[in-house]
Amino acid sequence: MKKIFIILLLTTFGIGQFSALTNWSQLSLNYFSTTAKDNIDIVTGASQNANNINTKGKFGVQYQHEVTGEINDKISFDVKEDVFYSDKSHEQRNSFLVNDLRVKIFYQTEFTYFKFQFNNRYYDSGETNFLNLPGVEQGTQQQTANNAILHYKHDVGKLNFNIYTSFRDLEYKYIVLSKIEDSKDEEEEGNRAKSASDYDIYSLGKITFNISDAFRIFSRTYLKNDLNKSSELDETELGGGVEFEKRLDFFNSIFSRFSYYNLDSKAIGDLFTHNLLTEIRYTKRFLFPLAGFVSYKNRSVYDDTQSKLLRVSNLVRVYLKYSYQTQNILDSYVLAGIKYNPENNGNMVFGEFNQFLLNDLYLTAGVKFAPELFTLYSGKLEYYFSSLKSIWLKTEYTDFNNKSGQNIISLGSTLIF
Amino acid sequence: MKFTKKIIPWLFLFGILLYIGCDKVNNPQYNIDDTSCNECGRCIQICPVDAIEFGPNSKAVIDQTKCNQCGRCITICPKDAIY
Ligand code: SF4
Ligand code: SF4
Repeated sequence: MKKIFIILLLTTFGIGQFSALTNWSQLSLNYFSTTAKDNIDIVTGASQNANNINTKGKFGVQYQHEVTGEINDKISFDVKEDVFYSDKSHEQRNSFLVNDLRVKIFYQTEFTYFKFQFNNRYYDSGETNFLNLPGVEQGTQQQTANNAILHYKHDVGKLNFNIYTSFRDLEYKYIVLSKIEDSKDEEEEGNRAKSASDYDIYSLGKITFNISDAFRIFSRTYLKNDLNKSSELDETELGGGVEFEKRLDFFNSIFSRFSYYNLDSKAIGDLFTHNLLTEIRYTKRFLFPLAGFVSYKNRSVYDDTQSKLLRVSNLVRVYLKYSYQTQNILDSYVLAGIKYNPENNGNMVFGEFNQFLLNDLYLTAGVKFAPELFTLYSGKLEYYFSSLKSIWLKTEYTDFNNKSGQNIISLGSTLIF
Repeated sequence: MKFTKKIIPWLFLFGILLYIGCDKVNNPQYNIDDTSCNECGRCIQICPVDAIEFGPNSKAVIDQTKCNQCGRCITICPKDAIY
């Protein structure tokens, strides 16, 4: 807790010495109520089967703060802190407190881009074990995740080099049953907590050749090395493809990518050896106030044994937004969209409207209907003191196909300075 | 420009043919649409096997060697970015 407090102080005030800073902060108080009968409460992740966990809690508080700024015209940074405390154990972790810190430092010139990123997620300690990591026989409880990332891009003439590497360290503890050493009873056993680490390295190398302003070809290698489990959870991808990106005119633009990669991994299996990925995104700006896009993604594999192309998943998105009453702090709007993803039961339709009521008070209401998963109803009343300061009252009710439902009511404020 | 206008319908047709003409794989696979992901990190926290982490461009990426296809991330994603 002390550690989090120090990090919060540093992010909020320590960086304040640089000029050209933008701060975004949001504080919200949450009240949860649920009728979940399943093992897992989707929002809080609390397992009702796990021992010693308080799943009865009702309240939560979340504080998010993001600071972006420039040290000089080449170096900039972005620091983000997200602390969530609830009196109910949440998010699969048997944890009441989650702190998520992300620090990014960028160096950018006309031809070079360099990023260093450090992420830390901290989960406070709980008693029980139900997080299963592959290769670890006992249930585990993760306490900290550290992730250091280096990303470098450089243009040389028509060539672009892209190199990325990410090191991830998961610190977790697990419970084992072992003899209690100071017990008089020779046979007496008790739970002992042990700690362990899991290390992974993810690396990417990509070379792109710009054939023209719109056409590019690329080749790409992606490697994942699990440093604990020898080669069992390793992965190697080798491939390449072609990209087309063009603004056709003021109203229309298109991006498309077609790529193939060969995947080698014992954990994923031979079916996913030959992968094809197709992406098309067509953005259409109608005459203001109408805007929208349609995008399509397809993942397929070529199965050697059956000599057949098989589809893994399709994603079609259609989105349309109409804005009106644009003279206020915020535009009022109506939007609607479709997500079509039959392979993963991810089909959904959604709609939302935002209406200026009076004196900078806005009402937003939305519904998201995913027939195989849930229906989500949301409503928000937001009062703007200015375009940079607001307070709001929000409610979200999720109905998991009549099996269970949960409601979150939040009172919060947003501040940009 | 003329070439561009010609190629668009062909690309769409190609995609649609890929969909109609193929059988589905038996094991589902989840991926993240990086154009929709807003980097909120909720999927990372809910994933029971720690299969998700931020990747290049700071967007969430699924490590397929760890994913057990439980589908929890698709339910929690506020941007419907998982497919
Ligand atoms: S939950 Fe969705 S939007 Fe948030 S990080 Fe994951 S994929 Fe991105
Ligand atoms: S499907 Fe389940 S295991 Fe796979 S990434 Fe999503 S939450 Fe994790």
